[in-house]
Amino acid sequence: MKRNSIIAALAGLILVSFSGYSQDLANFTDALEGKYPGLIVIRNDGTPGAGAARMMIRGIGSYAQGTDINTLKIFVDGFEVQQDFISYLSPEEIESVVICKNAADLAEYGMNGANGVLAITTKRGSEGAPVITFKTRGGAQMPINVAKPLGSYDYARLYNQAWSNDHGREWDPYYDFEAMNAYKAGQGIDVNWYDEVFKPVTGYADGSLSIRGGSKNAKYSVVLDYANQQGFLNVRNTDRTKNVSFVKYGVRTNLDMKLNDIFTVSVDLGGRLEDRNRPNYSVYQLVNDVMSYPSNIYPVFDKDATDPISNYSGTAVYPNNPVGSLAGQGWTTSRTKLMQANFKFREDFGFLLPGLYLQEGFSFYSRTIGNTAKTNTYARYNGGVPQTADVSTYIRSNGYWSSGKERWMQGNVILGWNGEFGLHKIAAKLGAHISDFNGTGSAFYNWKYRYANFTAKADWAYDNRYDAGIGLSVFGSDAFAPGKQFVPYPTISFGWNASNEEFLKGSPVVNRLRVRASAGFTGANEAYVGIEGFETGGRYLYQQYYTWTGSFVQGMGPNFGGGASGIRPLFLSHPDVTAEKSLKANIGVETTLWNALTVNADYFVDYRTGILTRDNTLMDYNGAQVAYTNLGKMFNRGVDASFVYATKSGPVDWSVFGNVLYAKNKVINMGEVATKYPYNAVTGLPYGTRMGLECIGFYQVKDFDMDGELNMGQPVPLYGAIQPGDLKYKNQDGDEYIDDTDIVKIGNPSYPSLVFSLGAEARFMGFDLSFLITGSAGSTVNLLDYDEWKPFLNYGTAFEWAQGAWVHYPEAKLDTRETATYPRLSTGQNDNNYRSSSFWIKDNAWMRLQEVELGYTIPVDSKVIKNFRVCLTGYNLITLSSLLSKYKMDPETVNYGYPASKAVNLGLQISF
Amino acid sequence: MKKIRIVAIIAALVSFTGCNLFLEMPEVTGSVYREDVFSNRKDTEGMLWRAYHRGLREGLPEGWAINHGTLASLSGEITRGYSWHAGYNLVVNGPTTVLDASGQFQGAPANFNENWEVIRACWIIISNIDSCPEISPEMKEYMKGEAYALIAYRYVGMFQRWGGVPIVRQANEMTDDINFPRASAQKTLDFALEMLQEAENRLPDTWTDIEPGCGDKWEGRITKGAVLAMKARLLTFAARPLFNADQSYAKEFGMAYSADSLIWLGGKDINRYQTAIDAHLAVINWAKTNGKHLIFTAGEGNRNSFEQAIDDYGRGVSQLNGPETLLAFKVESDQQVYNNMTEGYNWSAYVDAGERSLRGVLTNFVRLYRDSDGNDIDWPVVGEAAPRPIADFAANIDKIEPRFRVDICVPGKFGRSNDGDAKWNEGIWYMGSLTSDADIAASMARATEGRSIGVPTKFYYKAGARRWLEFPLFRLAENYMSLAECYNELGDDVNARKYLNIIRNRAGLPSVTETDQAKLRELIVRERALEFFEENQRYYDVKHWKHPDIGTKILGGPMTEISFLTTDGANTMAALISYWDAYSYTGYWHPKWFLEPFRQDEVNKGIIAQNPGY
Repeated sequence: MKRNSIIAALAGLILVSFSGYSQDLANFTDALEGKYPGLIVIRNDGTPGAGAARMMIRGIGSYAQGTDINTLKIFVDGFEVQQDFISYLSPEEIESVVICKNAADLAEYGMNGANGVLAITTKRGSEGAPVITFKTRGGAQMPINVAKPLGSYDYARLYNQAWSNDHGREWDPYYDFEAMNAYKAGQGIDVNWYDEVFKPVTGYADGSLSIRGGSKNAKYSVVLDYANQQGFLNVRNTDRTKNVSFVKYGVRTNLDMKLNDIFTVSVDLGGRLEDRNRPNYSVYQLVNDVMSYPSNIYPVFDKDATDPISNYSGTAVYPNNPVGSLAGQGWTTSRTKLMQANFKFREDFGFLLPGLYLQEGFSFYSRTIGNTAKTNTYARYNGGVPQTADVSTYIRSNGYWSSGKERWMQGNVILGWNGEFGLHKIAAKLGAHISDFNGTGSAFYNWKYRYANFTAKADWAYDNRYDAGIGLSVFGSDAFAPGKQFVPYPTISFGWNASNEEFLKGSPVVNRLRVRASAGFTGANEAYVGIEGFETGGRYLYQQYYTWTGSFVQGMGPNFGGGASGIRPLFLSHPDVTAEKSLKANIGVETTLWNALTVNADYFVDYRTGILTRDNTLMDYNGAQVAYTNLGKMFNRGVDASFVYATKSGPVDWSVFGNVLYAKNKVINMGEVATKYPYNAVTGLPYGTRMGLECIGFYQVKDFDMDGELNMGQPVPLYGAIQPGDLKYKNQDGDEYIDDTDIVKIGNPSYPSLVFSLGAEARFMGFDLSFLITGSAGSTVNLLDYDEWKPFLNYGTAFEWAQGAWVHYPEAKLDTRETATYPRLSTGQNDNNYRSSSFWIKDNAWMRLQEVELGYTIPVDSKVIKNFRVCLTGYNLITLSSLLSKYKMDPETVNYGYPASKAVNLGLQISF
Repeated sequence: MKKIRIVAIIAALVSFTGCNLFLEMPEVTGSVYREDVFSNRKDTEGMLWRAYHRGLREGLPEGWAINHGTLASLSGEITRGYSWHAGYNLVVNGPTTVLDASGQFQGAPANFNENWEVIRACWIIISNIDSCPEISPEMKEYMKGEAYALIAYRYVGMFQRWGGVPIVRQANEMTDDINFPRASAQKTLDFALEMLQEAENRLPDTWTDIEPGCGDKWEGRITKGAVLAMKARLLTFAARPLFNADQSYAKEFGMAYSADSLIWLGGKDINRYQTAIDAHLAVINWAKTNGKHLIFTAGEGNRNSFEQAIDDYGRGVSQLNGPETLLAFKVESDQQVYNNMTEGYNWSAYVDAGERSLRGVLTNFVRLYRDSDGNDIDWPVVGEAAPRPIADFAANIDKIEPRFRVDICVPGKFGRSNDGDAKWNEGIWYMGSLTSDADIAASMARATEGRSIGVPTKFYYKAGARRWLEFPLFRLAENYMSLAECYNELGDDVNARKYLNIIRNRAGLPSVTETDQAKLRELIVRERALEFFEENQRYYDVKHWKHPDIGTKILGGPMTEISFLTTDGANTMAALISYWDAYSYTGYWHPKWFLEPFRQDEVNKGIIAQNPGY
């Protein structure tokens, strides 16, 4: 098989396509990471089937949807889809992925375009004999980040400190000498819940079969694919138990039929079944339990229980024995059915005017989820005595329920003309696209979405040297008031192919040089931040809504006119609410030098206005709690670039390639009420900049007087009582108190400002070797977001970092006053310490060997078999990250829940 | 033919009319539009009920900033509650302007922004109700009257707490000019009077049988009489010395402040008392013709017997839709008893003990009560050599005036609110600051904070198992007491004594004969405290009087509580051994607290001026 390794492609994009297995496991969105300049991909955790990555194009241009939501729009074959649809596409289906990020790329997207568009085109058949390709691979996955709670001895040792700290700061161990000795000798209860629930390795397999070919009048492309990803839970797949797992069955049929000289009909059917199994207990909650149940609470099984069905331990405080959750209460399965069916008709009117055509399309998209379960319950025992109301039951099949139903109908019409006059080339088209989305209706307003987009576009080129284009989208959204629904979005673009000018033609150094620029408007009509409570997604804010409230009782009897309910207005409506507007501009260069080095680079700016924002300056006396207006402004700018250097050294074909994105934004206005000091404000900083107190160490014993009060002259923190070992904050304003007026910038946002990738490949005598390194910088993590950093809170356990706690009990020979790396321990909430401060903010810069592949194409002298290749692939095998090495967190999934995974697979590809 | 089809498709798609239909707002779930609300009676009434619910609960433990507490815990009547109660914090630290650690605003006894949702809702009702087809024109006018009355009621409340506030004459939309500053105290007063006039012009005298077949189900809605009472209260506050003085309190107490007109009426005008008198007389005259009256069995000029006084006063403050009540906050039903109102006021064993707050009666307040003949009572004071024998306590309780016995249940002697009902008497097991520890008694330390001499039982006279209450917002007794006050300030001691003695005689006390204005003022102030115990009056009264003891005995200063030594923790007379007074805590006071602060984050918006001292 010819390895179509590098495609320098459209509009300044470089698509690096690996051997067809360009993704580590089943998830397609993960595989996009590092491959497209301008695209940031942040993986979700490794739970099978939960892997929708977070994607951003050129960073964050608007805060309207916060930092955690995929704001870009996704189109497959010209019709919009949900991210769920592409999450588990097969790479065999994909012809190309285009990241639309410049104004010129987005000219026809209007209100869908502000945050960029990911446009996927699927593979079609081509004229010729059928090509049949079969691929399969299988291997093992291993967790990247493992953080296990402390064992019983260390837990108890630290708990004694925490207990004493909370009880008058006198050494008063909760676990006495005997108990501690027993733990030390391994005689007490000491269950490693992590090892009980997780296993260190699990399996993966997938396969696909594709058939492509066609005649002049009929072309076809058929893909069947399958994947099976097992989870890390330590439980077998049986009739009564299931590991968490994801299995998909995909099918795609793309047919093109030329009926006559005028008519061509295309039918694309892409569908998939996704089965997700798991124990009948939320995996998220199970992992939470594992990470919070101390080791010494009880043994897994209660040997004194005489229950004939099961004998799991459990208590009222720790009711959900992790092993019981895993294997003791059955399993559930959900089946997602996804389908995109596109029908296209194309009429060539060349007989009227050469190059004139008309195209109509219709797309039907559907996603439904059905669930079934086999469940039972189990009694919780301690010393043979039931601890909760639960009783043990036998497993039984448990009905059917649905948890999703979405339908999306879209239609479009394009009237186009491509013409040439001498050295002039013109491509022009008029288009209309209408869309009707019907969601699950679980929230107030996201029940239906509709839009209509009318477009006009014309591109002109002269002598392959100069070109220019204009575009216009008039986009209407149902989110806004009648009369305010349609917004025009014009764009312009220019290009100059300098390498086609006389002075460069035939240059041995500069083979190609193109300079281009574009500018234009796009929009966005969704907003979540600050509006969450109303579930409008930023829609219908022009309309004054009312909502029911509790009833009010008046009069003699218990009811005022019979159980009257109150009604009150929701948010304060604004008739002029409209879509957020983006003005994008870019200037870029594309060049190929020495016939080997290709570089593509863009400088871009994105100025957003009219971001839908809660108007925090609304005065209380207007009587409405909240109002939203288009007052927000942001500015985002940066550079993205890619390069490929491909050459041949003797018998070795080799290349290196890479890309980089740097994007930095600034909030210009987000309706922030003037803060007391300029340094308290978030306006003027990148969106999501971490704000908090500046930690300057720990309070020491000498900071307090005999009564435990802070010495005179020290600023008093207004966040609850403090004692030695608590975090000490800088008093920025020099007044008497540490309070919210001392809040400053303490770290970068949660998303990166720099992402990069670097790869290489080489081929020699049938062998091929390639790798891709990805990385990012400029983001931070707030450790306080994780309860793992709050030892003992809510009856929780403790992790290794708690061992660095500040402690001073000379009578117990405990003294870390000089060496502490963590504040003094507490058994409960500590309002002073557990508060956003620089102590908890950690930089997150990392790089990893995302993909490495060694392949060998076996020379087969056969008329039937055209290509036979075996390969060994590794994914995420090496990760360099301080977050991982110090805090046991994967730098992308940034959590302590289900681990991220690395994998090794052995693959086989045969083409006929 | 083909071309025609194509052209038709394009035409259909591009047609703007078609598209507007396509983009017409799709279906939504879970809420309604303004047109819907005012298309039917049920929803239109829903708007009004909500406004009632939010508007009348101000100052009550129902969710406004002093959640879990009552104003009585600030004004030296009852103890400050648990340490997490907003009232506790105020007693310790005084009012602040910033949000607490959890992002809540509990820094002041009221949350300024809570007023405005009510006012906005009322303006929406006023400007939209005419479009409701299911309500008769007469009822529409009544409901507008209620809306005006609720606006006015909030302005009366805000005038008392903050002085001048912004004047909002409509439900402002985002397209209106929505940033305007506070109006002067005088303009705020004028606007409140204007709203009251609008309400008075529209409201009925009674809601009974207002529509065919409705009977008394709407008793309790605002009547013309309630509006007259609001007006009388407003004018009384305008006449009192805080606003009606030669200089603002900021100047008087040396606080730098440049916007005196916001907190002061611009000069002293004694005639403001006459205006208030006229308004109070109007209430009493209205009552005479509309079935409302002070419950006074012996009648004006006579003195109630002890038992008559118990019954008259008890009914006066507790009877549902009683003749003495002009407006009450009626939130409760049997389904809603587990809320802060119940926790705040019902101490009986009918309510689970776990819901109760610490709200014993402070000795500072107990000292105001006299015996039934009007003589002061000799209570223990801090610093006595030893606890007093319990017989001394029994003798004091036996002779104390009837209102004490209705309002407060004490160990050993219990109360008179629900005679014969153990759950209102000995069944209140946590009543009284009891200890069995002789060492504590010997040291004369306080046994338990918040238990004190006993617990309040006001508003539950003969309530039995009813856990909910109707908190009286306007009660005719107020008009009598205010008349006494205003006449006295005008130097008319005859009329001052006349109205004061009506309240005293109703309470079973003998008439006073005092003629000296200053001494009569002291008697009126003391009487008003007792008559309106726990009725959210004293907190405002002492501030607007600029009471000389406000910082040393009432809001601020040392608070003391009675404690008892008992055997086995029992609260019966036989078990009690001795009792003493003990220091409990010191209340906060600063002259800035004459008015309350606005939230700092509201002031930060740069539109309204903060009150002095904050």
